[in-house]
Amino acid sequence: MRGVEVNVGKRLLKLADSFAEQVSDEDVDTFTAQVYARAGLAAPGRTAHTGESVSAGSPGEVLVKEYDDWGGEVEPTRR
Amino acid sequence: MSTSKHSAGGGQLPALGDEPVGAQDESPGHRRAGEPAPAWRDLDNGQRKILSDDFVIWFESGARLIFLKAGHSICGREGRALAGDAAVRCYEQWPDPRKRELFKQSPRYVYQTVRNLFLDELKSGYRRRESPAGLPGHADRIAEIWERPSVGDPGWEVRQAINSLDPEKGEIIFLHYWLKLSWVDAARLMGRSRGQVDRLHRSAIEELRVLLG
Repeated sequence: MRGVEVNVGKRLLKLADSFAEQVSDEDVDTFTAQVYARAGLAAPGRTAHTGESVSAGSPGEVLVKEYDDWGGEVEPTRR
Repeated sequence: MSTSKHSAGGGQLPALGDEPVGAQDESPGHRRAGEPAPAWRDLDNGQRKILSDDFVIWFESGARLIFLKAGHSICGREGRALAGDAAVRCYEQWPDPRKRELFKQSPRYVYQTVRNLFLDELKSGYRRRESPAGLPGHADRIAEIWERPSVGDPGWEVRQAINSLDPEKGEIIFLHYWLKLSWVDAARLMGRSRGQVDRLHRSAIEELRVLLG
């Protein structure tokens, strides 16, 4: 059992360590810029946009996406 | 973890939403049933600036690496797009103090958000394939990643096995191997005893051994 744990553990460690080989500091910066652009965050300290994904409902209302605690989408609310 | 350094609910963060009458004793993160979660559109410019700055501090002080590592643990190089989607989803929820606190408290919430997004997109990709009128999209790409042979990505089988574990077992693997957390720290973040986490880890390893043959 112990040998099995070590073997599987080694595969997990090797896979996890490949992150550092595959993702550079530049990749992290690019990722950050992409997230900020999509969220409407131009740069730290600037006013953000609404940050919500909304779609049109009936005239005069919008459907606002909401999520549960684990990021799963729940029924949108009408506002 | 650096993520716990910038806790929400401090004096500088705006009070969001109208507190229900008689609810003064409730913690700020608790809402009554049916009460809508605070959202960006409910805030004035000053509140938006404070909260967006708060998100940026949290994101750049370590959370962005947690998103990227979660994406990597789930679908390798392709995990970057997934991590980006999850980070934007997290930002959308940032005005809700309860969810903001969850994200700041522990990297396990980031991991579960990325994982759930992956599983949702996987299901969505399969559903779309069953519908001939469906247009190809990101979800279809996720389905392809899941199905492709392991030649291009030697870690594919291991990732597939990890993603097959139940959420808590996947979490312990992520916290220990990707985030390099000690068992004591992992146990604290998961709200479990050291012994429980040890048993959870052993059980996860045994399942992985069976899955990986």
